[in-house]
Amino acid sequence: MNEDSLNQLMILLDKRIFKYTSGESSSVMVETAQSIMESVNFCIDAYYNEYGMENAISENLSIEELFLKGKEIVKQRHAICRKLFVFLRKERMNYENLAYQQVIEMAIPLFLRNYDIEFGAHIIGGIIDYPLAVGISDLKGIDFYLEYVQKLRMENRFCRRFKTEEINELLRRMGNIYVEMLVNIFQLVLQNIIGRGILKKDFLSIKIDETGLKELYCILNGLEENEIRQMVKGAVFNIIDDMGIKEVQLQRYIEKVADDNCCELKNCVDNNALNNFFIV
Amino acid sequence: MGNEFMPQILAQFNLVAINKVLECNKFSSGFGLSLTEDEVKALAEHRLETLKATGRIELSGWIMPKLIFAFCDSPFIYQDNYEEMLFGLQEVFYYFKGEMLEEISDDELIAVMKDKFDTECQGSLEYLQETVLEELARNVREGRK
Repeated sequence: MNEDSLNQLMILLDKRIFKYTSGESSSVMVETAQSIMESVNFCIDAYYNEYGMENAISENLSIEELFLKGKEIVKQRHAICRKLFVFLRKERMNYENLAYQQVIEMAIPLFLRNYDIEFGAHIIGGIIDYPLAVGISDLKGIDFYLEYVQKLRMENRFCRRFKTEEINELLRRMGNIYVEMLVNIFQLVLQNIIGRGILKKDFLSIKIDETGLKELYCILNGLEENEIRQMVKGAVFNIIDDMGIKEVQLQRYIEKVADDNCCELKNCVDNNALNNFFIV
Repeated sequence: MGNEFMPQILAQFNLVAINKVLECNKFSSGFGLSLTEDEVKALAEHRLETLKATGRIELSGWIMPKLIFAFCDSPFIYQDNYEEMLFGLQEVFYYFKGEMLEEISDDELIAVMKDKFDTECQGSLEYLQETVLEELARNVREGRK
């Protein structure tokens, strides 16, 4: 950013602070100014992400124009996120898990209702306890929630292929505090399904019994991590094929989660603790 | 976001603010009070130090003209202590803006400061700061504004 742009940014910040205080205060805390500046930058980045920096240069847009156009994009994303959330709420699974239920019942609606596009567009806020199988680490504000809602819907689409009661039974087997546990249900389901895949069983159920667990140990024990990875890859291929999963995004998601967990699977095999990976 | 972040534009903001304060001489001279350019520059320097010390930021607007308009008719301020009083008032103002958790506007705070300064405090900045405003800040923080 050149000096002229920095000067423009500072003038814009000055105007934003005036608007923030409704002209009632000439000064603000440094933290407040920083947050307002981050919000401005978030909107400008939204414009760059949507149309590219070249477009801004060719149109000779000022920093303020970039901010205003970016803010409109952020507003549109907020509206899209609201719509997607309506679907998510309809598709909600009856899992016996507080974090899952609360994120849909409270955390996301609270964020969508209170989202401050004017001065806090970059803020995530709220308490998102329910972890996704693939966490979101590089997004802020509405972008975080948009990604979160999309991923959670995708996880639901996969899990809906199994009986909810079986999934709840899986959770119950994790111990007495299963209701309060901060676990990703999609991942638990997928791990068991991969286990069934390795055992060459069908994918109509997610259950693995004690015999199956022993069998898995016999198959996996002594294998190198890359061999386990190949075996998991084969199981995932069969899962996607047999279950008729056509959605490419979901296919990639399953592949990533499965691959990311190979190291843990290897550790569980080595420590003879496979019951920590596959729930029986 | 330190004040050294962008010297060019901040220098411009500062220059505009200094000129606005110098223009206040037209009004305050009616009460026998005026500031030289050097005194205004010293006040501007002190402003930056105070903002830094109180963790605040102020860009194009400087509170000084409002303080001058409010206090120039005080019976406790005269030419000999004018600059010194403005130094103190500025410091007190920024400090209590933060202490009152941004719950009180600039105009409200200045009005309280002026009223108490002229009456209860009898022109004592120490009394204004350590007794009157401390109590007000406590009340504001506890929601009893």
